Amino acid sequence: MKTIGRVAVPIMQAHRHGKTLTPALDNTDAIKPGAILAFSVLRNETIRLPYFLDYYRKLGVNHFIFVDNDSNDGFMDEVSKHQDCSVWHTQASYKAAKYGVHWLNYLLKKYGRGHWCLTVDPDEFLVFPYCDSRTLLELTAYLDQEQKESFFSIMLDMYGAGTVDDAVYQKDQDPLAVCPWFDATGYYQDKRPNFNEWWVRGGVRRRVFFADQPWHAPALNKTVLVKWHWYYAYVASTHIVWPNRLNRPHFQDTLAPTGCLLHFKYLSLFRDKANEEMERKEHYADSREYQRYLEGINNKTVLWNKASVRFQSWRQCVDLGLMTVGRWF
Amino acid sequence: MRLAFVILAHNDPDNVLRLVKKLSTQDDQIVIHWDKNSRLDLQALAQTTLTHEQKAHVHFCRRVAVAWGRWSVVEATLAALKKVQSLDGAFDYVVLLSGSDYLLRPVTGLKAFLSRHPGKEFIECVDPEQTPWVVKGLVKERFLHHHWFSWRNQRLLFDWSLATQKKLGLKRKLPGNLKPYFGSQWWALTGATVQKVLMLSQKGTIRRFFQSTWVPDEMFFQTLVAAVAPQESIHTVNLTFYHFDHTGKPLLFYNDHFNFLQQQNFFFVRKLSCQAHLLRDKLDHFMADNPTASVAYLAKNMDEYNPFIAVQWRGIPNRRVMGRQTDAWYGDLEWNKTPYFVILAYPQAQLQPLIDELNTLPGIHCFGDLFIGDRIEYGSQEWAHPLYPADKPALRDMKRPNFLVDLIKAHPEHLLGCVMRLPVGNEMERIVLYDPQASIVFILPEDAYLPEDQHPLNWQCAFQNMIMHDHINEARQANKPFLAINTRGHVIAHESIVRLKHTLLALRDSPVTPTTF
Repeated sequence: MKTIGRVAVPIMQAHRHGKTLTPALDNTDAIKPGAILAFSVLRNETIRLPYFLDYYRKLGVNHFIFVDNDSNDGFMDEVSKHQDCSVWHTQASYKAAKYGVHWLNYLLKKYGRGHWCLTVDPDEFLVFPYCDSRTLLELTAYLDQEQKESFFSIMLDMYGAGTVDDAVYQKDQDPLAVCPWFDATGYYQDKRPNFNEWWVRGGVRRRVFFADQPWHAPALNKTVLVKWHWYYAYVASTHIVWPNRLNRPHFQDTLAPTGCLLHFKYLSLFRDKANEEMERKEHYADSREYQRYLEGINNKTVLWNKASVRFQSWRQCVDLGLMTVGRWF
Repeated sequence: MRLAFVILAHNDPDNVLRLVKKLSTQDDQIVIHWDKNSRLDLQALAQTTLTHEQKAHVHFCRRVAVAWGRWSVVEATLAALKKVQSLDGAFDYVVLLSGSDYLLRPVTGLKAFLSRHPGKEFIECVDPEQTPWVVKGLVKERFLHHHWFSWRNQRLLFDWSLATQKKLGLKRKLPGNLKPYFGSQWWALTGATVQKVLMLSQKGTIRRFFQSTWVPDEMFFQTLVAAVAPQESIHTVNLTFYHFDHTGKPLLFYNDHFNFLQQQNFFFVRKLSCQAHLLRDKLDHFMADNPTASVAYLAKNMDEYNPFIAVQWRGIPNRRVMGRQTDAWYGDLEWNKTPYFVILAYPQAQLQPLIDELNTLPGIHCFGDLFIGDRIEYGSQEWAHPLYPADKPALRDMKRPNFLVDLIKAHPEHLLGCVMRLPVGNEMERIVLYDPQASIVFILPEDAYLPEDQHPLNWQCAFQNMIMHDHINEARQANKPFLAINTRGHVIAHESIVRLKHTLLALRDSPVTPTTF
């Protein structure tokens, strides 16, 4: 019964919330079999878009599918320049759609079946073993060969040397130039029983914004790359995916490759975002998380610390134990 | 010397044609078998992309629908060999390649090598009785029983038919006087031997036998060549570098493998990733710069690969692994391989002189009580970990073993230790007793149960002794060596401090295995 519920409920919810989506730009005819697709829910992120598309195109993503939650910053003008993007528009509540999960599940079910699907926010950049010399297609081919359907990664919160307001981001810029620092240690992992997911917390947000109640710090584990089947579903953002086996980071007997998601949240853009989210209250737990962030920004908190590490390459993440190569030679 | 290259290909036409272009520079001929399952017409594509001169070297043979591990692989090879036979002129060698192979050294170098070994057959012929060649899975069952079903698509039927035949005791015999040999699918044979093998393959009994074996492509040619060619002419290494991983899948090579492939003394490599254009470019450059590069002998060099696999199997020692913890209780201590020491004392012991004395030693630092209270007692601010401010104990308490490991890792050149006054009241007092990296020192109260002037029984002293001895017993149960120091009037004697200093200096200087990626 539980299993049936876990299959049926997300599908029905995805179907219900999928109805609120209207296609605004449909290039999905161009999707070839075996293509790697990227899915993303966004709102007013146009400034990040050019570099985002560029980065993932170089990694090997063939088509981008966006859910535009009522952006008003010229998103459509920007995105319609690109042949490999499709956009669904909605004015419905982000919160009601379980923070975008139902929209994603709907589109993943419709277009992602049989494809390797990357579900990332526009401020998340995937780094995987050998990503400077191998493509996503080679990674997914390896996982296919090893009969693994998902790729585990943890989120690394990146920040600049000054306050959040000092990290000014320009269009087309590599966000690493603005926010090259991250916390190399201070990560906690626990296995949780419900979906068998590894629950990772830590990084700068725990250290600065949740120092007094670190157990409330948001999850950093993400399973962003999944070979999608019709009955698969994201449960809580991309932190948890159903069926449970997809949450498994490694093979049964040995280590599998895992990745890191560089997360560029703490740019100067973040102030407006946090202000807006405080009013909209469309985020998790009544945007309580955003309240803490806003306090931090207003107090001109410097996220940088003596123990911060400048990001260099994927090899550095392996050396720090944040990522594994597995036995992928 | 004139060569014929046979290429079996089923996908990635661009790289197949790239290989063809590379092979068609001299007067050699190339026969391509293009899988019938592919909808693309490679012949038509070759017509448009190859130059007129290249086209003169390239021939296409009858197409067979190839299924992995089945007779059709051999059938496709035989079809290509027949095409070779029908071409004008004789060939000194016929080389079997796959579409995802590439050259490690130029054809000129290959010819020089082959002319230094005239008449040798470069084919792996391994006797399954003597050497295990198959990495994983069926070995003798491959030919001792009939295999009518596909292992990939009809796994249940495959297993069922094999189990039934085994149960019924049905065994097959090789036709004639053939003796089975195994080996890699890829080979280079002399023209004369190829003729003989083709003649032999016409025989109905041999064909029928191999039609229902499992993975005949790793048996058919090996067995027939061993039958027709003299034993001493068979050089049981082939010209293609390949490696199977522990599950029996061939290793795939990517753009970053140029240096690794350079170390391999072979002429071809199997198999390259479809997207490894840069690797192919680099190999092209190498061959252009060294047009006569050859090798003295064929040999693998796995010095880079073997340690990599040995280490990566479980994770790099002394390094955290995300998403793999067998004991969550231990946190990061599970993979910590850096030694540290812990001084377990009873509450009234005067430890400050001991700590001060230890901190004068070079390369050793002893913290105060790290795991108790609302402040983290680093001692002095310069020893505080930047990620764990002394006034934010919640960060420490979220996972105390991780805090300890982070602290140890932050000072790699020091032997670190800390004090714990028992009872600590959290899991750390037990964890350190079981952690193999922890060196334990007990500071014990004197056995003054019955002082003359006070109570009839010194309850506090008895209670502290009980707690201390509980921990000592637990350490004994865990087979953990420890040092015990008795105080006198809560003061640690000077000679005990000296003894402890010597022990810790020896621990500091004991070799710690360095770990590198």
